[in-house]
Order: sequence, then C-alpha cells, then structure tokens
Amino acid sequence: MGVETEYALSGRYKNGAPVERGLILGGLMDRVRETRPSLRCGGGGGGVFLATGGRFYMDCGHPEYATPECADPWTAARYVRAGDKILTELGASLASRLEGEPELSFFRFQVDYDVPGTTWGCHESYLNRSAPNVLSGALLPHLASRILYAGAGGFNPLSEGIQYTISPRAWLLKHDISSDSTGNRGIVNTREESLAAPGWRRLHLLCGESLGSDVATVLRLGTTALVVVAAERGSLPIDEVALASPLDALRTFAADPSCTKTAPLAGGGSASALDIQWTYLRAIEASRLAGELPSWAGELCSLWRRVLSDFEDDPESLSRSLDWRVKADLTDRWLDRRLSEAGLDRAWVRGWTAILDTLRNRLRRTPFDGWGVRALFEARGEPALSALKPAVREAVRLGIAVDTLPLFLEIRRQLHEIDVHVGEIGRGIFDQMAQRGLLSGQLFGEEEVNRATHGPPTEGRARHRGEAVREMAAKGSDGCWADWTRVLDGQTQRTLSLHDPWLDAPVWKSLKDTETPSLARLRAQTVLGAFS
Amino acid sequence: MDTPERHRPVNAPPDATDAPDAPDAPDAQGGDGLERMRRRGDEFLSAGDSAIEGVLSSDSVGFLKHVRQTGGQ
Repeated sequence: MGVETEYALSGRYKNGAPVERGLILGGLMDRVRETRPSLRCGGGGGGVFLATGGRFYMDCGHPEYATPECADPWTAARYVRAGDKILTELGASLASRLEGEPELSFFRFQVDYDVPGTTWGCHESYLNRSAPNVLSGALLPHLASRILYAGAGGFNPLSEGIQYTISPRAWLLKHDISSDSTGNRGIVNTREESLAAPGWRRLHLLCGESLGSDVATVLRLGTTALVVVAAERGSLPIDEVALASPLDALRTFAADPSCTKTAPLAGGGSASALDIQWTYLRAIEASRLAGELPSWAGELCSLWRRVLSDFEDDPESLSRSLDWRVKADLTDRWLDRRLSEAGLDRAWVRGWTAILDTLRNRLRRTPFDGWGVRALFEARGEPALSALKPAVREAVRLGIAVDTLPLFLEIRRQLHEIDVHVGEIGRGIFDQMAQRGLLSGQLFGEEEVNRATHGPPTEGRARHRGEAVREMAAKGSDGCWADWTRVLDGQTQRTLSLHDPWLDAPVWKSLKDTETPSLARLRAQTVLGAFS
Repeated sequence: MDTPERHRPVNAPPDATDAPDAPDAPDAQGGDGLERMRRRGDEFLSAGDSAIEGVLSSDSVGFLKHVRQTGGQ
C-alpha cells in the first residue's frame, strides 16, 4: 500500500509580498536534487525517486510526495509522516537560499472554500488481484463510513455559511464510482494502472484526506487494505451493509459530528456509520480466524475495535487523537468565544447559514449564479438589491440584524484560515500540540520518522528501488532513471525489473537481454535528456 | 515489519494503550484520574487557544487567496 499527498503552500517575504510560485516549485526540485540521493523519473514522469523508494515531484502547481510501497499500515503511516518532514526540510533549505529569506509554509489541507472544486488530494493505492468494479460493492459502505476516524474535519465547502463537517472532501465527490480523477470524482475510482506485473492490480482511491493523526492514518489504510483482502475472498456480508445511495450516505455521515444519524440500506432499514464499521470489523475478525488475512491484521483489528468502542463509551478521548475531533474542539471553542465577545450565539450562526444557503439556491440559473455573497452585497444597482431582498426579509423574520452580515463573513473566513493553519506542517496548530505531547494519536518518534526520510522499507520492491537510487546517485547518475516498475543504469547498460511487488532479491539484467520497444524509447529519451 | 511495541503512542506511559487507568484510580502524583484528565483537557484547550491566536493573520482574505493559488486537482 502507499499514499500520495498533495501539499498546499504559502510563501511570503518579510514585507508580506508573495513569493512567486514558480520560484518555490523550481527551487524545491533543485534542493531535492542537491541535498538527497535521487534518480530522475523515467517514462515521462516528472520529479525524482529518492532513496526512500518514494517519489517527490510537482503536480498541478503544488509539491507532492508518493510514499514507497509498504507492507503494513504502520510502515505506510511512518512514510507519510516522513514525506511531511522531507518537504519541510527542503522548504527550510530553499528559504535560506532565497533573497530576503521568505517564510515558506506547507499544509495538509483538503479543499478551497471560496472556489469549490479546487482540492488538494491524498490518494491511496492498494495492491490486489481484482478489478475495481468487482471490489466496489464491498468498498462503498466502508469508504462512506470510515470517515468516522479518517475524516480530516473542516467546513462544508458547498455552504455559504458555517457548517462543520467530518470530511470536507466528501462534498466534492459526485459519484459512487467513477474513472475521473480531477472533476467528476467518485467514492471508488476505477482507473486501471497496475504498475506491476500482469495479474496484479492497483486499487487507486482518491476519496481520502491528508491527516495529521498517525492513528487515523494507520486505521484509514489498514482497515481499507483488510476490506480489500476480505472482499477478494468473499468474506464480507455485503448485503447487510449495502447502502441505498453511498454518496448520499457519505454526506449524511459527513454532516453529522454527533455520529448518530443513519442512512438507508439497499435491503431496507438503515444504519449509522458506526453500525457499518462494526459489521465490517466483526466480519473481518471472523475471517482472520480462518487465517486469511495478513499477519498484522490482529493488531489492526484491536486498534479498530478500541476506536469504535471509544465512539460508544468514551467519545471525549477521541478529541485528542482523531483529526476531525481535534479540529472540531478547537474551532468550536474559538467560535463560542468570538460569539460571546460580540454578544451573539449559535442561533445567529445557524440563521445566517440558512439565509445564505437559501439565497445561493435561489440565485441558481439567474445572472447572479455563482456570485459570492459579499460581491452581491457590495454590488450597486437595482438588480443586485432585488436579488438580495428575500435574504433581507428572512433575516428580519429571524430577528437577525442585517448589518451583522460583514461580521458573519469575517468569522467564516477566519474559521477557514484556522483550518489551513491546523494542518501547517511542522509549526501548525495540530503539529504544535503533538510536539507538546497533548495528542494521544501520534505513534512515531522523531528517530523513526528520520529513518523513513533516508531509507526504504525493509520489504518488497521499494527496498530495492531505494537501495538502487542510493548506490547510483553515489557514483553519478547521468543516464540513469527509475520508475515504479524498473531502474535503468545507462552507464552499465543494465536494468532492474521491479514488476514483482514482493521482489525478494534484485536481479540486474543487461539491456540487450531485456530490450522492448517501450524500454528502447525510454532509453533514447534518457540519452537525449542527459545531453539537453 | 514493525513490532507491536513500536506502535504505542509516543507520549503514552507503559501499557497506557492496553489498559487505560480507571477514571478514579489514584495516580502517582497524588491527584485522581479524573482530575488528571481534566487538567490535561484544560491544557489541550488553552494550548489550542494560544496556537490559534498566534497564527490568525490580519488579512484572512489575502492569506486564503494566496494558498488557493497553489490549488490542487
């Protein structure tokens, strides 16, 4: 299994002026090549592979790190944390070399609240043997309900008001199943790109969110991997948990921080997210007895059981470990204090939220469709004022002073800003609290994370990729490259096949013996690249 | 593969992940479990308050716009 994390970024000079984005992105790539053993990506992919076995690159204007392939969720979560650290080290190194020494920050962040549809993804990959559409029936209820522990927390990006949500990304998914990864995203993505030998498949999920909590990351990856394995063996009671509408259920669960709401089941009746998760856990524990699951399944199931039990018996404890609970506690408290200072209350927040969301719906298919509320209020002229009249009448009916709207919009923006800062890598609110020992979901010490920033995991093909990167970078890597399925040494004209995900021992072969048309093409590109 | 011992929370005392203290059990510092939890909860919340006040900018609009410009997919 592995994780790709897209990071949001900010760069400011001391006078507040922004650092040009290209300077940051290009500078990060320069720094990674100069400070870490690396091989450039072959096959037209950008960026570099590192001695960790993972890949660092720029994608759509942001830095991204793909962890190496890991054999268990604890190792994968440790490499996710290592990705954060690699990026912050590169950022610090770059900042110290830029004129004016600007402040560069990187964030685990999910969605843009002002331009819905813009997101920073955190994709997961799981090695398996089945096509995505075969697994989707077993996966959908799990993916809709796992936000209980795997939600990042934040605000509903489709609301003009203030609505806390367990999972901001849930609102931007448009289908149960889809092959699209950038626009019409689905809960289950069916893109087929195995990046391994025939017979192996890679389930690629893009419904997840980047998390600061190690426990949440372990659970997100571990439970999903077990569901995939159990589904392939037909060990899941799919009919018991099949949802009438997975997407609607996901949104119902995402909108309910009390975690008590239920969603209709396809076979009749309804179930809460917690009900669904218990059903999966019990089915998987039963199949574990038959020895069908990985060796780490027992420990993962214990952790899973403990967290689900905490939702029932000790929910307060989760507000010190799971991302969305931590964020909810902090933003709730901040909001209450802000309201108290202004002599306002939650009814005022609910009132404006209802008014503005009703207004937005009313303006659909009018010339003001898509206008921000602030723009509408600041617009002059009769058409805009007419469009606003229903909202003003509703505010008066609810006893809300119309002139408090600017304050509402300011508080809303500040909550969004807090959300960004909670996820700032290294010095953000979540990481500050973790460093002070105030969070209970952090599993890895500094030494463990440091190791994962320099070397590969001990199992599978990532180990051999990472070791090859280190060796070839040490001797000079002109004419050499790597991708997920091979490493090419252009100097000795040899290649290492990584098509076997569980490769035990590396076997380098002469290019003469392994040449294929596609490899020849890639090699030609490499030679040309070396002289360009 | 990692050993179970390495999966404990980094700030957890020995066995804390397997056997949480009974809420009213006396602890070595002389307080009781509930009091210790309350103190820790207060510390968490006040640390959160300070952290938020420390990061909020005077220009939320500008900050959010700046971050948006690196928008993902």
